[in-house]
Amino acid sequence: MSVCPQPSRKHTAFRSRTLARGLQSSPHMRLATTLLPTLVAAIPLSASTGVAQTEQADAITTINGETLTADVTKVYFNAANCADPANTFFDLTLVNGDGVQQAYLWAGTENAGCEQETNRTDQTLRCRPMDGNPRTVGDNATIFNLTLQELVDTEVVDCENTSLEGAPFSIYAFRNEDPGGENVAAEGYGVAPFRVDVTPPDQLTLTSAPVQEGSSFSVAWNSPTDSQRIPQYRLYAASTDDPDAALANGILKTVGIDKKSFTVTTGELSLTSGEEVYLFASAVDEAAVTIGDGNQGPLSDSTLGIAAETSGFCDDPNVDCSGCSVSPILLPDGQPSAGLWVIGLVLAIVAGWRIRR
Amino acid sequence: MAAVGLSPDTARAEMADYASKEGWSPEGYLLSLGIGAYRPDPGSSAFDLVYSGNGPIILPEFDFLLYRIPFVGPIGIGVAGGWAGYKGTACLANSAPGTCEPSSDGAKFSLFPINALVVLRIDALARRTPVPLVFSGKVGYNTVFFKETVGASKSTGRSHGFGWAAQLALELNFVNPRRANALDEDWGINSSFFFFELAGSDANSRAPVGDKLYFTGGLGLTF
Repeated sequence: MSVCPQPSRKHTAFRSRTLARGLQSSPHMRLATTLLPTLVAAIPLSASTGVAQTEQADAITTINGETLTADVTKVYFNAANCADPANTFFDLTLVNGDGVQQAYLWAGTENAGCEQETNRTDQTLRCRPMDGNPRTVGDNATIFNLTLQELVDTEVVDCENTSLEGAPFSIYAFRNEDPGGENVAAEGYGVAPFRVDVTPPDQLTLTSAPVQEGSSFSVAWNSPTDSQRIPQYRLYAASTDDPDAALANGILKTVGIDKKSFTVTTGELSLTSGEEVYLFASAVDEAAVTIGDGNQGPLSDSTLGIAAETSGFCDDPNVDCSGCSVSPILLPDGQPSAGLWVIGLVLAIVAGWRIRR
Repeated sequence: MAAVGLSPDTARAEMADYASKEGWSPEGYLLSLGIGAYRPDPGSSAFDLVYSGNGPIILPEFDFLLYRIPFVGPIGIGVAGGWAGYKGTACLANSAPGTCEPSSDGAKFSLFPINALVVLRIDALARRTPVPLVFSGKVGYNTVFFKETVGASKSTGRSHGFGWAAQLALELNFVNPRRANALDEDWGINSSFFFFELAGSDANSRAPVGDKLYFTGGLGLTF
């Protein structure tokens, strides 16, 4: 980072003895002479902060062919990617990359400061070069077909340590020239952030009744613990109390972020009265390009649903809801009723009379 | 009722007399909003087995004040329409009679009452003495639409029957008479009032959804 030169003391106006004597002659001026130099001195410091160039924001734009949209705020490699890093391909797009023919890629931890020569040592796992440098920059200032394996090989990026839930890393792309033993100015490099999250959400703790009988069943849970948010929950069903069987049957339903329950009917489950079903739920974190492709937690304990006929107030044998007309203009036998029309007519006459009056 | 309401000459004379009070415009309408407790009373435990709570019921009302009975108060007709809702747990269909074995299904019952009423407001006390109380009596015809949702099934229908109400209102003009007069001059609002109303409904022609005794309370305006 360039450092703006501090102003020379000999150029400070208040060094003038004559002027200073005049200013010290009143209390207000003494205060002014105390504060003003401070303010004046602060101006170049503020200016240097304001004009300081920040690193350029490169971005991973596709992972395994899936394009990251502009609203994606975090780029993840998840457990599925880490299970096969050699076949996890991604593209890196350089900002302000016009005229950049090649780039030297380094893997770094978050805020590693790899542009500083002192941080680019092999002694720590702070900044390490990726194999294959320099990389050719193709169309749209993009470096194509990089692999997660190349990042893992630097040993900076860790796909094994499950304690690193969503650990942030960076790819430093030095433009055109090998950084060598020099500090690199901001215009000479860019940084693309990404995260590695191989830890699935915890198993959901259900709050709904473990055994339910009726024509609909509810599976509700407490929010699971995960360092990242949970954008999707999944519901599974099986005829036996076996999570593997439920997984094999596939996803029955999904709900999005902030939801806390599923409700499923016997109709959706194709159950007839007396039949049973075991329901399971799991959480999927956001460590993916597409919602639902993140790390999936283990299935919850089961909820046993037993299909049964249910009844309400209208089903009471002493309550006659059947045959009730649903409209005041229709009688139970479907014939028109004059009741509402009479009331409406009276109200209309009265309203008209009042308005005229 | 209609004969009384459609006697314009008589009504005009009475209104004019009433309006001749200093700073008081003719009082022809009443608008109120009441909130209270309503619970169908079928005469058995059928409703209580499934639903809990007393609503609440929300019941706006609009009255046309057609004729002022001397030394008593205005008489008119009105219509009120509202909503009340209840939630509960559906019973297993094989529950023993008179009992409810709870199922996993939720149940929801909604009422939409529409009441056509003849209204008598006895405001002589408020008009001729410093006591700002107004008594009202109402009788009419209640129609109650209802909808029940049990699990995925729905039932809808309508019941009707006789309805009545007795209301005690506290007119608020005495709080600040000058502003009350200004409200009348600017907006034609004669008075505002708090009210408490006891009522009954015999809307049991089909499903017994009437409540023999319920109450509402709220705020109203005459204008």
